[in-house]
Amino acid sequence: VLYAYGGAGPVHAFGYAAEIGVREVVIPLGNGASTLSAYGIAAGDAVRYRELERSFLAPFDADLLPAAVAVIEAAARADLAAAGADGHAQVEVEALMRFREQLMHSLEIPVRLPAGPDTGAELLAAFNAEYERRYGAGGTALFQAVEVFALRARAAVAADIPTPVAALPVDLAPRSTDVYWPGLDWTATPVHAGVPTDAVTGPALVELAHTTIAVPPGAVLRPVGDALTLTLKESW
Amino acid sequence: VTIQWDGVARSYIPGDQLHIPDMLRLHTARAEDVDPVTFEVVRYGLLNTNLEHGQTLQRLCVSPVTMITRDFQPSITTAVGDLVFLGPYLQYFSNAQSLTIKWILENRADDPGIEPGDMFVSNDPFVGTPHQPDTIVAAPVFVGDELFCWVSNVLHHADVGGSVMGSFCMDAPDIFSDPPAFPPFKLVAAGHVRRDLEQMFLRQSRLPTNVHMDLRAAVSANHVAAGKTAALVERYGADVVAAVMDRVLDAGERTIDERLAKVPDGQWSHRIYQEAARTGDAGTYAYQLTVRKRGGHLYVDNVGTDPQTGSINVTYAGLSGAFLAALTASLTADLAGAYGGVYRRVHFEPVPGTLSCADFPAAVSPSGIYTMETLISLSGSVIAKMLACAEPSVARLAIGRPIPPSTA
Repeated sequence: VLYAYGGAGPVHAFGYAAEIGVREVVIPLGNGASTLSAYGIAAGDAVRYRELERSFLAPFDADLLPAAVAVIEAAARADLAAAGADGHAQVEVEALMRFREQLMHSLEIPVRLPAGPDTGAELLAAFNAEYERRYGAGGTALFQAVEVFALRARAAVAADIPTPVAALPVDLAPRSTDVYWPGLDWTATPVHAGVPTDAVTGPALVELAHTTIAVPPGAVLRPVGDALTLTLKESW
Repeated sequence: VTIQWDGVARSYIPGDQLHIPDMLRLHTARAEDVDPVTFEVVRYGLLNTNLEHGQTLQRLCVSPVTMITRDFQPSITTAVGDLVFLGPYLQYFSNAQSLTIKWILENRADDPGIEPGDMFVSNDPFVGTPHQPDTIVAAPVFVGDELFCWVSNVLHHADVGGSVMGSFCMDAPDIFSDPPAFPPFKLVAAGHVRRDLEQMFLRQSRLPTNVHMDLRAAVSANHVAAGKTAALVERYGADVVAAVMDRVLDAGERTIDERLAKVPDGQWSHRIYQEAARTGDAGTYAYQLTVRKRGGHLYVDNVGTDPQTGSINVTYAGLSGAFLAALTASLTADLAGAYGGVYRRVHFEPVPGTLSCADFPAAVSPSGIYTMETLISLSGSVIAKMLACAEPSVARLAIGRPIPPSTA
């Protein structure tokens, strides 16, 4: 079974599925598709990350730690502005934490903003809780100092690119267009708009908001739950 | 005279049938039919549990020997301690875990008991470890009130005591100058780490902070692996997962059987000499190994090996672990760690009181840096001699393809 997603995947899937001997292609619908498509990437938030490598040992200093958080927060905002992203930036900061000397390990613990004198105590409690959640109570090593070894800020501005309308109206009378199908030459092919409610037999094109599905001659496209499945004939 | 392989005066060697006290209930129900897709999904789930177990060890450890060198190994065994999957790290450590778990089943089920949430620690070479720094932490996994399987690991700890820093005591005349050897004790009781026993173990170390962190890493990693195993049981059912474990073992046994069918019956020996049993010693000492192949079985002995002396000894755990590691690397590496079934076809007939199967109170602590390597090399040589006589398809597994004749 092949999984075809994004803007271009379902256009070409029938071809490379046949090439590698796969007869069943699943095309997901719903929210997941946009995160896997080039359009989704283009329409995503403008983001800049900034990291500050600095070691703080618990118990954390009530002034130095929040001051460092403020520095990294401002730096990420400035980076985003310098990159030309206008608008109101949302900033999130996380502390990279571990027990001292665990050089292969880090847990990313969110920092509540704005940071203040309580930030250190909050981070320590959150680290211990997360460590226990992942590794069990028996592993929490209270004898070893907890360390923040880096701070990471993520500044984001929402992109001003509209999200496409999710569902097109079903066109009961499909248009027709000439399609060059490999091995068949130019063939008049019906074009369906929107998610089909019944099986569509190829040759056909199905236009969705985020992609176009190419259904080659002899193949069948069926709605199955929150996806479409394309079943190819043995060789087309 | 029958030799008593009791784990006290001599190394522990489990019998074909373990004597497990009745109060410990074992999960024995098996699904009769497991479809091929479910079988593969569960099989890979078990394999991946060891990978995540090993990666957790590496992330949480702090000693360079574990965190960077990865001197450790996770395993999954059946309820009775047979290895279903070895991890991809130091192979002979899994044999150590299997031996130690079997000893725990026979000796700890009645007192202090084997209960859900427990973990046992041991670094006793006469029970199962190759040398004292290689410390085992073994966790029984229960389904209801029945023991279902074990997850376990060995970590090489940076220092566990003894006469010299690092615990490789070259000049030890016997185990009383070695690091202390602790037979299995229950470090974690129903999920709670026993501070008294933990401090007893750490007190022997010159690097107690490192050892403490690494010991807790071993506990945490077992917790993660036990959780993964419990999730598999939750999703597919205990009887299905247990049936998959049995089938993985059977498949390994079938593989060695098929390959040994392409090896002629016979006997192959090899001997290696080692110089110096302690600093300043000018002696040379022989280690010998013989493998006899009869049908689908291998019989291994160490006749011809010199009597135990100085600090160049190992116990049965070292001898058997070295041979099994070399065998599976040469003959069944494609099983990807599912070697328990292969082990069923290997029968050891060791001579006690020797350099390669020493009795109490022999010193063994330096074995991790030379006697084990000597025995792996020795085992590899004997196995290569045997496989050189096999049909080409099997010989190639150990020796590689023949070099094509030169066309020049």
